[in-house]
Amino acid sequence: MLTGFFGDREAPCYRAYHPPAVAGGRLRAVLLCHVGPEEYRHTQWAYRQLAGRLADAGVHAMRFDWSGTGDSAGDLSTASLDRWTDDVATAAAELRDLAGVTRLSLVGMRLGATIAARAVARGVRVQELVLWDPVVSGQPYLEELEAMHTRIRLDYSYPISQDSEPDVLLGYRVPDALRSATAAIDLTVEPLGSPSRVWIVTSQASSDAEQLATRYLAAGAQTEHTVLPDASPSRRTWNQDTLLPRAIPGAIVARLTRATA
Amino acid sequence: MTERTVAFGPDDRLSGILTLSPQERAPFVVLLSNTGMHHRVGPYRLNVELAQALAHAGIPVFRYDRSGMGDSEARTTPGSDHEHALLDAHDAMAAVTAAVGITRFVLVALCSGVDIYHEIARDDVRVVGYVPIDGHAYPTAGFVRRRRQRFLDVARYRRWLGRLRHRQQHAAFFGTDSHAAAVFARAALPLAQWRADLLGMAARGAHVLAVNTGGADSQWNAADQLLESLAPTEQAAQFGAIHMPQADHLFAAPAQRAQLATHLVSWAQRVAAAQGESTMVDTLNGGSDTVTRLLLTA
Repeated sequence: MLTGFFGDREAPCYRAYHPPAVAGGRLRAVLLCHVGPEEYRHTQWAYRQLAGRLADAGVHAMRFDWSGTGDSAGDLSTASLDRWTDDVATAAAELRDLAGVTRLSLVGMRLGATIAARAVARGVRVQELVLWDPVVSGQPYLEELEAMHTRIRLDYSYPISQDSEPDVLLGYRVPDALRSATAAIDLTVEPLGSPSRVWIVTSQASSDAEQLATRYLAAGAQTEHTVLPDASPSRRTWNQDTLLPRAIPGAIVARLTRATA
Repeated sequence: MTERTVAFGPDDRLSGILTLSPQERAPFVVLLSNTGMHHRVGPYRLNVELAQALAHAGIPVFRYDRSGMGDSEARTTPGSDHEHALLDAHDAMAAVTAAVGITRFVLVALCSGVDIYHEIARDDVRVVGYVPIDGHAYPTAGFVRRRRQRFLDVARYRRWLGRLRHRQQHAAFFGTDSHAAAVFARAALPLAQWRADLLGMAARGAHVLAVNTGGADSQWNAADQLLESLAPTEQAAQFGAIHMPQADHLFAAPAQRAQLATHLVSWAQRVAAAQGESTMVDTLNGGSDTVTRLLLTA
């Protein structure tokens, strides 16, 4: 694993590049787009595992942190969905440089899937777009996060100071603009571009995901939607602070490896 | 402020980020690492925010993942997690010294991270400061007296009623058994050993800042509790304590994280000033840590 920073010199993003374990590797690279900041700490390990498994299978894999999140510079005060969409393009260029390949697939989870889909709609060229439990509609997603926020607060038996911070969501100050932009997400009507292959994999049945798959099909993309029961940040309980999904990462590795064979 | 990644340890399999300030640097580097299963970013990005605040004040920070966690690979040599974590910390210090030439360290640890850093702070003379957050705590007469007063807190009953009203939702998320107690329980150091360890740190010139949150309120309820537990000591000036009753254990509230950063920066600057004096002594004595320690405690 090779870690470093890339992008804007004043506010670089952090990346972890997993070169193929097999000498030479396959002529294929996979860029992994993280979940949103509120769910990041629950899925970081799962993403690291996924990247490692892809590398073990001979694929160049790279994870990165959105601007203002994780180990990247800055904070959420200057973050925006547009900036994160730009991050995907910059990260894709970084991965192509590191791997020396031109063919690249994108894997995004939850909000990361949404941003990956938007990046493709804006012109990031990918061989395959994998959307893992994508946030198709922003408002229900925000409501899920808010419900989780409330649920966790119920556990406190001592005074905590979040009462006076209405902008705080699951530990982060989310600026109004970012909150509004998130609520406005609607992949059932937004432009989707014309990716050649799209795989939507969800950990439970989702009519939103079905609708999205139908749209991609209509746009001419070779599209599949698969339901694989697995752990998800949206259904975690207190003792799932670190999520360990197994079925979906395994299926992603199998699919992206098979596609390169 | 600049940040760069540092690969270190055996075959460079461990990963950390060094945060530096263009300003004049403190004579030590603050080390931050994992808490529980959280990777080095920390819960709610706590470690990143602390690193940024400290670096802006001219205090370099190295945050790293222990082997087998976050972005660090597991060690391939035999040993327990605890033994590996000790090696990781020593490798981190060596890597930092190689990168920036600084040989002194301040260790900041939250919760389970305290188990490792306490041991290193006790044994390694390069450690000039130690900040356990929700670390070891021991009931004192003062603790028991203050704890009785919680029954007079009306808000306490309001919170309890709130949890009762949402008990179904609460149970669905947290369960109804005592899993939490079993998972989060950690063996405490015997009081006598803890006291001897801290006094030993002070005796060699190290400073200690104990921080406790509302999340530790069943064990800690006032800043005074630190000195109450240590009993009278001639080195009281080297001990500081901060009680943050409105902060939860993982600092989910941004305002509490900011407050912690402010406390930490202020304390670290005082330690830096003290270390600056010892650095001069160190230089005069040809860099002998032993001589420095004797002069500081004279």
